[in-house]
Amino acid sequence: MCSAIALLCVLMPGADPRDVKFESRIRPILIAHCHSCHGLEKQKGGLRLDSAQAFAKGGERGPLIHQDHPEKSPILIALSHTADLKMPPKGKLPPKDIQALEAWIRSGAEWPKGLSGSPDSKVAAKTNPSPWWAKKPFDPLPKNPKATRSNPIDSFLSEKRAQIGVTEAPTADRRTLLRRMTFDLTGLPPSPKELAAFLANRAPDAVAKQIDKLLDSPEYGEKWARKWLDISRYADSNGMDENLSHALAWKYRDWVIKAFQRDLPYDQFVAMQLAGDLLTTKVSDEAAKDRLVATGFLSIGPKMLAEDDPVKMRMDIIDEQLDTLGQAFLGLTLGCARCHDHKFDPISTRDYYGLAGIFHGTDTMETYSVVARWMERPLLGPEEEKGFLAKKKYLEADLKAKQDIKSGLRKKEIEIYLKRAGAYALAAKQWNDTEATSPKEPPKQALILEAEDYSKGNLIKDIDTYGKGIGVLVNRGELPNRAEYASVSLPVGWVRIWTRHAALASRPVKLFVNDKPLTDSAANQVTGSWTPESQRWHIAATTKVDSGKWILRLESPGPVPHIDKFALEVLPSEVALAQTLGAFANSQGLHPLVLERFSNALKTLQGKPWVEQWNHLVDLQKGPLKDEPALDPLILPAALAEANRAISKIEESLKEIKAVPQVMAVREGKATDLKVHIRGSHLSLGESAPRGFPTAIRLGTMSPFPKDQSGRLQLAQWITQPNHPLTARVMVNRIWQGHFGKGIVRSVDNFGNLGELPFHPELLDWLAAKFVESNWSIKAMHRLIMNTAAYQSSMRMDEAMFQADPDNRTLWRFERRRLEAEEFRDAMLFVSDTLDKKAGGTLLTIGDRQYVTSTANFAYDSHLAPRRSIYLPVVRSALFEFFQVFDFADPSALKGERTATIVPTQALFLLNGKLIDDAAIALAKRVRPKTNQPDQATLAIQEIFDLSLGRMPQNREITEILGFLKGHPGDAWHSLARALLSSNEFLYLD
Amino acid sequence: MQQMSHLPNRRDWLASSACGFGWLAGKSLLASANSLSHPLPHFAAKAKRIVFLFMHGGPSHMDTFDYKPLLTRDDGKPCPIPKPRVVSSETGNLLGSPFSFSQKGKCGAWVSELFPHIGRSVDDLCFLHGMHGSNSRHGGALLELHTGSDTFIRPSIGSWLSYGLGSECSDLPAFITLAPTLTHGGVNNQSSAFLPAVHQGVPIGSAAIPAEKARIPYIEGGPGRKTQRAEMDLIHRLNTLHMESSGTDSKLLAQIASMEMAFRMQATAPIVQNLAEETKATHDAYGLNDPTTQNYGKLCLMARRFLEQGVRFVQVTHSYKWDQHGGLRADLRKNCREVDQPVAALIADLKARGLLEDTLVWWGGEFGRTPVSQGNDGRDHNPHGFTHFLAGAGVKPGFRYGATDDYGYYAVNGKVHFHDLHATILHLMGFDHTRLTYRHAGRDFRLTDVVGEVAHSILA
Repeated sequence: MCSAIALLCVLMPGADPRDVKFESRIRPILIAHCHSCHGLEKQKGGLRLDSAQAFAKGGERGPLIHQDHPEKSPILIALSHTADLKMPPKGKLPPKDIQALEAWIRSGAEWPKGLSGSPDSKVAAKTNPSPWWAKKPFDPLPKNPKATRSNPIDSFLSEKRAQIGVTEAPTADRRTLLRRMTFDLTGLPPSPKELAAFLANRAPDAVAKQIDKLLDSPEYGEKWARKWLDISRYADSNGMDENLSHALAWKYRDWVIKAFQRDLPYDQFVAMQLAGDLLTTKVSDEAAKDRLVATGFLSIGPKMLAEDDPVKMRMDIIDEQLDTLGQAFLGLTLGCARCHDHKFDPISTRDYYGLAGIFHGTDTMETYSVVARWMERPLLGPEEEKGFLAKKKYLEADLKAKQDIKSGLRKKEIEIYLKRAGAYALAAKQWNDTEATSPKEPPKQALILEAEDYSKGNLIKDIDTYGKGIGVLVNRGELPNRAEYASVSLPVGWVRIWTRHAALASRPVKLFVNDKPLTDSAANQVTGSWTPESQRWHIAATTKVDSGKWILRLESPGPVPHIDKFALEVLPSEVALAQTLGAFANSQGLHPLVLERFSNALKTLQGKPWVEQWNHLVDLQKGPLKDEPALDPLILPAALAEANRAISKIEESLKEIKAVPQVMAVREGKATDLKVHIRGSHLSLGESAPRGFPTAIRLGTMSPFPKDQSGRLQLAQWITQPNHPLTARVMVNRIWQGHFGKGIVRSVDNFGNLGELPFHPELLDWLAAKFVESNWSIKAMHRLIMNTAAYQSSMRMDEAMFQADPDNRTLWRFERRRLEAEEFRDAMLFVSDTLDKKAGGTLLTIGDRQYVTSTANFAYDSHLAPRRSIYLPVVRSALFEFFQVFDFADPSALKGERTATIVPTQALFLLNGKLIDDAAIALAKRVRPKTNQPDQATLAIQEIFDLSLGRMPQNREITEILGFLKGHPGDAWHSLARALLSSNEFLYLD
Repeated sequence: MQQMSHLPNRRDWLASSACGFGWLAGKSLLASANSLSHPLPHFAAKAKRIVFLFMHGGPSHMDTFDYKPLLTRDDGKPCPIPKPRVVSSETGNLLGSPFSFSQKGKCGAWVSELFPHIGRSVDDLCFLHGMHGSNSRHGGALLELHTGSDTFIRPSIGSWLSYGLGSECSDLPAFITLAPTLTHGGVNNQSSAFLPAVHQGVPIGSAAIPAEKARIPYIEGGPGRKTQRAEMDLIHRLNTLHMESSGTDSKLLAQIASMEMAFRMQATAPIVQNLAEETKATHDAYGLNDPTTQNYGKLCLMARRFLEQGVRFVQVTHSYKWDQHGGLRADLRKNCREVDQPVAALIADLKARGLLEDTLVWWGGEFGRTPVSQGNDGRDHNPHGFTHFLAGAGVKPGFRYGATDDYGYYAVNGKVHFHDLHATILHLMGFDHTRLTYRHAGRDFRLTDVVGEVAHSILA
């Protein structure tokens, strides 16, 4: 307990330890055990226990505390269950809770000041704001610091250093510096050529010029966009319960990359992500599309798409949006206020639901019914989109009308067949009875085709999961599923086709021979499981083939059963005819299609009373004569052709409409105010919370939102006001953290009262003002920060200074860092000359909204592409293993600063991973000498050091490696390359 | 505990690492310990380790452990109890269990014909018949079961225990999950979320991979042992020279130590997974020679071997087969066959080795099923009442706690929500669930969020 409190205090500089103790120990007891009867809703015995005032007042029985003898306080007696009044009535509290309450009461029963914490305490929060540093505006015209360094940042830092008696480290050597700058701005190491050029340039502005050059490179966008993607929890799949692909999300990712490359002013960068679709300034259609793409920020979060309660789903999605945007742009943990007034920050539930209303009035989803669909919009300018939507609506209505006409034709025919239902029923029964006596397995002489031996197709051939030799087809996820078997040596004449498959649910597939459709319902039988032990043979179709040239094709618009084999059985024509439904139907003067449907319907009704079977057969809603396109062949050919022509004409036009690229984006919805959800539950609603902004931050008077607008545009404008105390501070702090490893406010995503205080508030404010003054230019901030002595200093160590400032808050030295996952991977590809620098686009091989992972199948291998890491798909719940191991940010939650853990799984990757092995092979190939003669070997060692570490080896390193080469049992250069790529010098950046 | 013969034990490891890295002691170990530090247990633990036998899909309680004679009597009649506000699928009338029940053991627990082996172990088991959760879909329910939240990504219970207690074994991770599912939350079910990555569950295999092929990621695939040793020595030399020229720091030292541990893990893990070391009698007991039981049997036996090595939390998932919307009669029988003998063997084996005293066995799924039918041979998801069982360390043996209503629809007394079960498990492991917290995004998070009560009645 003591240690927990100590920890809390350490983490909350400035907070009163008594308050911390109250919040961590006392209030939770009151909430858990008392508030349901003595709180906002009920005040049994006239008592409330949710605020200091109410607590002091006591209840109908009088005060709770005995002032002179706290140990005799009525509340303690009630808690002890020793007198009439026993509280809580359900059962005595655990002894440790009673002890905690007793200790608190003995020490004066103090409540934290300024925070009352009950669900109706907005008044307290507003009129009694806690002294929260970050809400204070910063001076837009800050004075430069007194000291006289050429870069004011250095002056600020020198001042602090002087106060604690530490001094700045000397400048780093130029090789180290170039490596640092290049990794920091591009995520890649400098090439030996770049290094040589930089070392040769002795001009005084060489470093500044180099920074400019790096900022102008496209790789800069690829590095810094990734940082923002950690913050915007970017992913190419939904994750959560239904892991569907976000096949369009990459457009948002590419937008972020371009935004960094062109130095899009940060205020616009923010506004576009929140309300790009609503910004009113007139721009070209191209620019408008670009803004629409930016709103993907709101849409790419993880969602529970199979939540049965649509209201909860909607509020959860809104909560995720608020939580992300609050931390991303404002450093505020808004999510806390969903259930109760924020315990530490002045954010009330009313503020929360005021913001939530804005997103309730924004359509992020197309539907909320399981499995829910997120919004996708055509990538068009606003005017174009209006036309598009009108045209789409018109065409869809027209299509419906034409389909209705066709349906009318069908219904007329159906009427006729309905009259003959009796004949069809009897014939179907007769057919089914014969079929029941037909063989259960193909004869031995039948020709067997292994399902996995297809010549073309997109299904997974799984040949080992179930044991050697048991190959089955399983789904890839990309639809439609297809497999084609071409051969020249197959039977001619009448052939019966069998399938052998396993299925836990019916998944019919279509079969074709030489493009002639045979059946829509092959392999539709349920066999009991997906695993091989329930594989069974079934007859799929019988057909006549005239030539020995065969192409058997299976197709399915949805998932397929696990098919093991096909069998082709040659039949004598009389047997075939007798065993072909078509022939049988003809012999009875019946329509084969109708007979087949009756036959199938009867099979599903086996064992039911005849009346029930009959009722189903003549049921025009559910039975075999149900009006659906499958019955089209009943229509007179001429009439059918005409109807189809009309329909396909519209479908053609609709295809054009559907071919318009789509994008994950949001849309303005129906503007409404929400009610406060008491304890976060949509089942208990409180007072109305008009849409608005958190009241703790006032930027002039707020006019109410226009009635017909969500307020999202106004929110974007509010956040990006130059005098907003949080927006600029939060972002400059992120940039600072990107260069120095730690922010000036170390809790980069939390500027609230539970975040850390800035070590150097004047510096933070000066940077924020400069940021706004530079028209929110992120590149200007890089220049400002990197052109400091602090950034360019070495890692020199000093014991005394370490004692004075162990956390290096004054930056008396530069801190070493490990390469991030992407930097490590890209650097390995770069030095082995295998990196493909192609920019943009998607590597996801799966269609939109398809499952990327399922129970057993996972066929995602796009990470093998040698592209820059930012372009590899980020699949939630199935993150590229290498990324996961090397601390890639969890793509389901915002993370402004990555951790750098050191765990053995990373080392296992260095020892055994294929990625590093491939890179090592390629790197070795670049340098391997013809012989291992010492002079040749030495040259090659020098080259491999130059390529991988950007320096020449020391003599003792050469000696060491020559010894290694000599004694090596195998491919020594491959080994040496891997050792260098696994070395600390490669993995860590000085 | 029987120590496996050729596995290095912890003391050996410490001794050898002290020899190899004597100069690394002190500062660096402190520094690396800092990032991985564990809160100490709050009180003496009854359980030192856990094995969670997870039945993915939602096993039917009315057909296995929760005997409902009235449901049998009223088979086919409309359900007299109102159905829940939110349902997953449309359901019909009451469906009596097609399986026969009988009383087992001294405790007289009712068990259906589907679990003959587990039926013989009931005097070791503590049934929780009043289990309930809040989400009626697999994805949400799995996340709630594993992490306590069906709304956000939170650390898994195994990660919390790894964070709370660390590992007893220096060559293996503290949290291992055998044959985990890739769906319904996938890795989020074993994720450390905001806890340090070292507490992530290490997957061995997946639902798609047969037990004998399941491996720790990257545990193999490198060059031969001899080449690797030569490379390791070279890396070590290069790293030493690098530190001499650029300065030593704790990160570099920890990285070096981590390499050495990984090298050793490569030797340890395959030995732990090598079931050939076990006797024929053990193989037979776990059903390794029967094609129906062999896969889960191997996983259970592997689990015991990991537990013996001091792994804290071992989860053994039985693939997503328990979702009987249809095919109740045939498929439920088959599922039960696949796990019945291995589970009973694991419990008996742990007991025989004296491990059951401080190992908690936990069996269950993400929800139960409805007493009303779906189709004529199926049951829908039911998070409102179902059965889990515990066995071993700190829980009452031969005990039944809680109950559902007459038909098995809702838990009515001795109710244990997932949060309560989590609180109870943490309690058994020595933690007050309200105090095992981690500071993240401005808040102290805990496994049980703001709820959860220890089910004191089941504690031995």
